[in-house]
Amino acid sequence: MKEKLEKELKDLIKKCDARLDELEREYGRQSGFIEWLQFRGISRRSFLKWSAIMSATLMLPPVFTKRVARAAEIAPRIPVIWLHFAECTGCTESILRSANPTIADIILDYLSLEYHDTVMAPSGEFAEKSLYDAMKKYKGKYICICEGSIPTNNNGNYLRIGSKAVTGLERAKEVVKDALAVISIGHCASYGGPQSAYPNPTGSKSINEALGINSVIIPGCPYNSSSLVGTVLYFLLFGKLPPTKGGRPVFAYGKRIHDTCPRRAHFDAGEFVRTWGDEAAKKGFCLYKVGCKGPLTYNNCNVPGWNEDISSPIRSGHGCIGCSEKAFWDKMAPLEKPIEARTLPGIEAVADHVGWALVGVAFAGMGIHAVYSHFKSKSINNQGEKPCCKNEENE
Amino acid sequence: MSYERVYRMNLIMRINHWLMVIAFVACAITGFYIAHPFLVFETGEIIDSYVMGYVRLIHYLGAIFLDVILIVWLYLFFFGHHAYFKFIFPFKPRLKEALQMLKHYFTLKPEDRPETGDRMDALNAWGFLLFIILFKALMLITGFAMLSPQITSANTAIPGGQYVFSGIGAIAYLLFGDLATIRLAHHVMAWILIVFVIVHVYLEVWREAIWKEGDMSIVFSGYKFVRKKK
Repeated sequence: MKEKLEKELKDLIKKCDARLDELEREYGRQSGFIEWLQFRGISRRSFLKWSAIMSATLMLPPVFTKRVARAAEIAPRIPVIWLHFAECTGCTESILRSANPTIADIILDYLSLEYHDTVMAPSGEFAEKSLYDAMKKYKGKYICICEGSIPTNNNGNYLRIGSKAVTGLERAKEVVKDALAVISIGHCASYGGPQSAYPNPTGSKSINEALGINSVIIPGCPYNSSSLVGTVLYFLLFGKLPPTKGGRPVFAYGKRIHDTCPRRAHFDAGEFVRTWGDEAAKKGFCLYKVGCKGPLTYNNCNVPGWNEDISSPIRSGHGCIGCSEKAFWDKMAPLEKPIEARTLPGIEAVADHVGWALVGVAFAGMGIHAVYSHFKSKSINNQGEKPCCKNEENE
Repeated sequence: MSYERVYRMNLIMRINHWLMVIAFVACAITGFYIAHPFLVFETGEIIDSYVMGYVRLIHYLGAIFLDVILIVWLYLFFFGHHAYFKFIFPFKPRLKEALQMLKHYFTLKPEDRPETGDRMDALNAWGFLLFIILFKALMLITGFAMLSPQITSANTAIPGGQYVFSGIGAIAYLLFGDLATIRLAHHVMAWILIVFVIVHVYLEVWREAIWKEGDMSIVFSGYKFVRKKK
């Protein structure tokens, strides 16, 4: 068993090295990247530390650390077309506007972005031109990153993009057609976002649903940049997109928030925060009773953490809202009440209230039936019969 | 007038019944605590308390008991002292009998009461079948779906045990879609089971009081008394 695993690992490393050599030949060794990192205040040492964290995030053994570092140096040479659809641009903002950008953010910043609505210099027709140039130049070679959902009602007229005012649906179909790989980031692209919440007047759909494709989805509101960079690095290392479960990469969305929670010990101890700012909140107790949806949510917020492990939503003192789960605003609401406060679909009542009502109805029915039975059996007895068996003498 | 003693439940069935009662009550109380922790302990030191941990342990132990009981029940369905399927099949006459029994509950007339002899009446059998199979099996499936995320190869004693949980849990994902809805379904079904238990106890007490044939002692001694016809 052990020899078999060792052989598999050796094969994997060999394959990975061969792939990286090939990529380096194709794209050329990135020369300016380390200097760029140093310019942004990141030493070679912390870059290697980050590589170790990333290989752990990708669930790879430590031997992959230097290969991850190598892949990270190649990563910025991969042409990327970054599309925006119906969304708040929060996913882009969350990486662009961080005060202390992480290495993952810098890589995303430094990617060979051929087209990105928010950060590109040209506008109007020139922006369109650069998109089509990039599509022609890197046909079948670029990675398409989609952000935002696609409205489909009314022929997709609820979303029109660019100088030619094409609908989101047309634009997405056009660009995705020639892409090497498609990655949908953020909740909108993955599951439809708040705009697809009930009653969803624009008919917003996720990228996969609207286009009928099978892209890797990286949900979250916003997504964690380490998950996206991890997916890109995995793609560079092994030449394929990471294994997924329900479309989400297993390395990032394989475990629940609850199972990796730093406050989990307080949950097991039965120590809960009851109101915001009480003594228990100051002690950092479990947030289950103030609405943490960690037990229902798959994500890796607690493991690599946010902003280079500075914090994560639960560590900062608010419960998980379940933003990486499908339709979380419909299914996890109310967000700051316990899990059991979710109303039943259709009748707008909490399960416990419905339960008590059912018990009440049962007791009322039983009471009425008991009283009825009492008088009815009396009247039958008076007629000389017993309700049990027919043709029977009185005792 | 004379009574005839009829054997209704054998020892296995009675043990099954009472274990189910204990496990059900334990699961109901602990389940409500898990959904809404009504007792909050603030000892200051985590090492001093393990309340939710024990509550969940009791819930899982109760659930395992209920699962084993369900398997025994399914065995008894075919091979029991009174094979359960005989109470339900042949389909048509038993359905008629069940409707007649329902009528008897409201008219109380002796001539409406179907002749069941030494077996369970069809209405009860239908009720138990519906609720035990439908809701207990669904509770099992949804419960496994909620447990499966934390079961990995590292914390199962059985090799491949995690696949049992995730495999059975996958049925719940097919039925309800996602974890949040599965939890809601588990909660709602728990309430339906509680209502069923309340109605079940009432009906047994009602039979004892109205029929006066010792129906309550079936579950303790296994016997009841049927009035002999002349």
